[in-house]
Amino acid sequence: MKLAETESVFTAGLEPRCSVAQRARALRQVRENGRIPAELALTIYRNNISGALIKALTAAFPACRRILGEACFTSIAHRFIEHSPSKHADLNRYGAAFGEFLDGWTANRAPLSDYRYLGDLARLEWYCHTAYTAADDPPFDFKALAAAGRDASETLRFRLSHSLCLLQSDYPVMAIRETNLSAGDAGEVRADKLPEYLVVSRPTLQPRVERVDTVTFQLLTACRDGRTLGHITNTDSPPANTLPETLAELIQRQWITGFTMDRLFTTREPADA
Amino acid sequence: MDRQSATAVQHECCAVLAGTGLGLRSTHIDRVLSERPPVPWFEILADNHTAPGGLIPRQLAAVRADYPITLHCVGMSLGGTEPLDIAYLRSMKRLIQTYEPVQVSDHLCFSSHAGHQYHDLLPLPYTEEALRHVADRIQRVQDFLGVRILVENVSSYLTYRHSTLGEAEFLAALSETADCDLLFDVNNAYVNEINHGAPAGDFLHHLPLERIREIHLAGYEDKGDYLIDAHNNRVADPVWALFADVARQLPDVPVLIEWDNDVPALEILLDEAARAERIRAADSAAVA
Repeated sequence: MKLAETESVFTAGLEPRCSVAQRARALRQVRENGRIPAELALTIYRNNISGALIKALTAAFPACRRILGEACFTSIAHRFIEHSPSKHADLNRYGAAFGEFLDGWTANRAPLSDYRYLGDLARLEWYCHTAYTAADDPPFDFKALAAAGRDASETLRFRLSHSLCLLQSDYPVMAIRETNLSAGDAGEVRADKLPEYLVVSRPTLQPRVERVDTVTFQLLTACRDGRTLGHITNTDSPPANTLPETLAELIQRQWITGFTMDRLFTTREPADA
Repeated sequence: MDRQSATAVQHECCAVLAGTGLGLRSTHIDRVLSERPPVPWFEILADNHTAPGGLIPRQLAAVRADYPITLHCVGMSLGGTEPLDIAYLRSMKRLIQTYEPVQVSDHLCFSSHAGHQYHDLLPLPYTEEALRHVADRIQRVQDFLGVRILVENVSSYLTYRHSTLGEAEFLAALSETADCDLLFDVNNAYVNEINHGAPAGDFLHHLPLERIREIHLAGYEDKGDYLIDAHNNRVADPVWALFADVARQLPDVPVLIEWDNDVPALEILLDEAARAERIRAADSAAVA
């Protein structure tokens, strides 16, 4: 049997929901030695694989795990692994879709109707997880901004920190996360003002979650979505007279870390040609 | 590389990595940086240090400033049959260029297939076809990274019916064909002896000793009928006994204590490293 076929047959037999025929094929290529029956050998590898992924999910989603309890979290994690096998060699990148998976999980199960916030909480934890390792940002180039001039607003787009993520939630997930990461008892969490607008960033070495007002959130969203400064000014949110001040604050907080400008090429006929 | 050149390279690395090093784990980094324990070198799990920014690269740079390091990888999938993962190799190359490790290693296994990453060291069949395939792949990895790599023997829980070569025989031929070096994991050889009956004591007899540039020691989990290479325990007595024999044959090759799960206090690892050094010293004295 060729190497590629050996690997295909073996890995097919490792799938949690492989068919009887796939499992039988995988078992047939194993040499029995009396110590470890072939079926057990496959189980050991299957457990190693799921164990590594569950360990990665446990590290990325500590608050979700605490709320669900180890047994329930592990059970859901197993289902997630079946649903979303790892596609990236870097194990730290496994789990990006866990929040979306939890949305479906809690929506379709009546006993979990009180836990519909779990999807948002998982997204918040994932953003913190990715912010921790995000690339460092260069210092903001104020001289270049000054040199761009006032006329540049139609082509100028602000760049956000590599670590920055935005989350709008109908649940008080910031407090839920903090409560469940602290050593004390995790009890009920009061919702002060919803929806909650959150910014995750890493201004120093540890991720930070901060609540912001709607206007700031919309401004950061516009920057993230690549809107030009001219477009932002035209929306009048924030009002044009406070925009410079707001932008200065976002730069000072290291949420806006740079800018880009489109190079424009005219296609009109030169006037004096 | 001929035998004489291989021996020269081996001596060069042994001089830089003199003694028994430790696998650096995140739980110990703060203490390592604040106390600078007398560890001759650290092995870095490369896959855990690919973050482009933040605390992790800063800590690694600080460790590197005071200690020689080696990079140990798990994701090259040297035995895989899919195209090489260039993004992964790029991240390894970036680490190599940034931290200048004394050596870089990965395992004789495959870890990805059909777009899926398994994050485990999956066993290969030891056939002539696999040998040619893996050798070619290692050569391409070495060309890409610009360094010779060490290939480690893995522990396994099954062997294939259609294997025609022994594991050690396969590794020996592989190192010659691919012109790579070897990392001999004594615990893995012992785990395979118990799991498959292949005598670990014979393993070294098949390998070109001049290509072995690192030795690993770790603890296994005893499941009664078989052993799991769990890296969650002290090195077991039978593995120490095997190591004594290995150390007699390779007295200067750097040794590493690996402990990945249920990681204990740093003192325990230092104690294991001291035991390895005592065994090496006793063997040296016996030879003298």
